[in-house]
Amino acid sequence: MNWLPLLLSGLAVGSIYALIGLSLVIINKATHVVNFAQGEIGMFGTFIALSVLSATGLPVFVVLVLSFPIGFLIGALLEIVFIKPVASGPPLNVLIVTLGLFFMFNSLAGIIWGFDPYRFPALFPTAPIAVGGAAVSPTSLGIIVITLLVMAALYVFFEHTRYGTAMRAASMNPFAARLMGIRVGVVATVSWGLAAGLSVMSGILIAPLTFVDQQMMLAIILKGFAGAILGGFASLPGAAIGCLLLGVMEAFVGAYVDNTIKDSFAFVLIIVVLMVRPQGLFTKALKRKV
Amino acid sequence: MPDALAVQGLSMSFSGLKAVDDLSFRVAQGSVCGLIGPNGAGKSTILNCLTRITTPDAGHVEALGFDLLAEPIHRLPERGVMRTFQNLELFTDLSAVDNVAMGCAARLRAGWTAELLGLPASRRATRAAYATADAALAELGLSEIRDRRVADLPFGTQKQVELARALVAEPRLLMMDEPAAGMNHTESTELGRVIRRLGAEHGITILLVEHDMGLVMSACDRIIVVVQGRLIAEGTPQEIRANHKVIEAYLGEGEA
Ligand SMILES: Nc1ncnc2c1ncn2[C@@H]1O[C@H](COP(=O)(O)OP(=O)(O)OP(=O)(O)O)[C@@H](O)[C@H]1O
Ligand SMILES: [Mg+2]
Repeated sequence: MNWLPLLLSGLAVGSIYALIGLSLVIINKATHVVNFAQGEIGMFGTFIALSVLSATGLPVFVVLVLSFPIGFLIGALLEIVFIKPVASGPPLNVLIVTLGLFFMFNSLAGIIWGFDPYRFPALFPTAPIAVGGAAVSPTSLGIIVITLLVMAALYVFFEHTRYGTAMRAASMNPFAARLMGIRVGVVATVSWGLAAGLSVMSGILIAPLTFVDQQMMLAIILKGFAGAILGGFASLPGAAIGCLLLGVMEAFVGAYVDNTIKDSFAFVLIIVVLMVRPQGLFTKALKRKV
Repeated sequence: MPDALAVQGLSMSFSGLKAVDDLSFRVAQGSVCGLIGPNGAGKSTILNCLTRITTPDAGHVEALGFDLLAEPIHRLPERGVMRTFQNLELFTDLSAVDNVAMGCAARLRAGWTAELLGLPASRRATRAAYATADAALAELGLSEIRDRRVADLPFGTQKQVELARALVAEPRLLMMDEPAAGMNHTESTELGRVIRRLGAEHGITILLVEHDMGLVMSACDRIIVVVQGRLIAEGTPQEIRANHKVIEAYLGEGEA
């Protein structure tokens, strides 16, 4: 049964990728760019959460719950201040702004909190628990469960609430959405807020396992991006499954083949998959954007 | 009767081509007005100007008592102005009922914070929106395609879904761009009945762009004829049928 802990730790890492991957897809649907700063927003929010934690002494779980609204505010503000003014220009202009935000948050974190790594308190018990004869890490389980809950909430929001449906409508046909009275500009702000909320959650979930520093999200955003493309960048469920799959693949390659090649292995596999299925694994067919 | 729409000196050109040329006309409250003309006459461009999709080079438009060209596009539904499109502007991946429910977005609004937080006000608004959407689909005989993705439906059916989406906004001025395209004779006859009823029972003023002359002649109170962006004739269906300028314009285009 040594595959079970491996599967779970792979799913846990994949969950972190998935939260970032989902936020990339959400912003892409609203603003039609890949937000390079997504990981840095998560990192910055994690630093803020850590500061809140040490200043108030709130339980770490409360801070995890607060991370979503904190992230939401950061994201919404960024969209209003930096993205809206360039949104009517070509998408490349917006892309450059997100690159600028990447460096801005990176240096800002260094200026405010310095360059040494911080420890983040554990969210879950550290002692392994026995499941069916295998020792399973509660941290992995906790990350997976929280991520699945977040995904379920997102699913209900986008598929079963009118605001979520309006957000999808605005992404499919912004022009008609405007004519229906849907405030497409507000939809973009809300999308950035949602995405940033998810990124900060992913930062806080991974922080106890790594450290909190400026570099903490660099690999994660690349993997989240790759996993989302592997599953299908056009669909939220596809992107989430792609990220989970990437996490699991990495875990097994690292354990059974060679830990040093697991990063490159993942990308080689993704390139091969995209040669065969350009739309990603879990998206029906490549459709032209309206 | 007061006018629901008064267009004065409307002009719009695309790199030198005058698509709409100093056009003036009025549409009486509660009437159905046909807007006809050969292909490329400028009919769709006129509707685009009247729904703030393109901004005309010149002209003044008063609709339902307000200065239409001063309104941003997203305010038109609450002002009572709605339209359908010649080439469909649906939310392609959404179901028919989701599409139609979006037509109530402006009318049944709970505020986006209430919507995001799922407050009771937003749940009530959502229920009302879907009840309205279901009623509109039923009225147009579309109940059985309620949950189908609209992109999978035939063109004529998509046109009807788009009409339902416009109707649930409870417009007082409705503009339709070739609603009968893709419909067979029975369907377009039924559409004619729906259009008459909208005018007569609900007092909706309708501006109808349509090539199906049977539908135009039977549904409209008055008709205006546009050729190369200019108004060449205006009158009742009988007058238009007998107008030799109109007959010439159409024969010149090779259509009847
Ligand atoms: N966006 C645009 N850019 C350039 N020219 C345009 C544009 N839209 C319309 N035109 C031109 O303006 C003229 C009027 O077009 P419009 O679509 O309004 O005609 P229409 O009466 O709706 O024709 P149809 O019956 O074929 O729908 C045409 O010559 C068309 O080529
Ligand atoms: Mg047209």
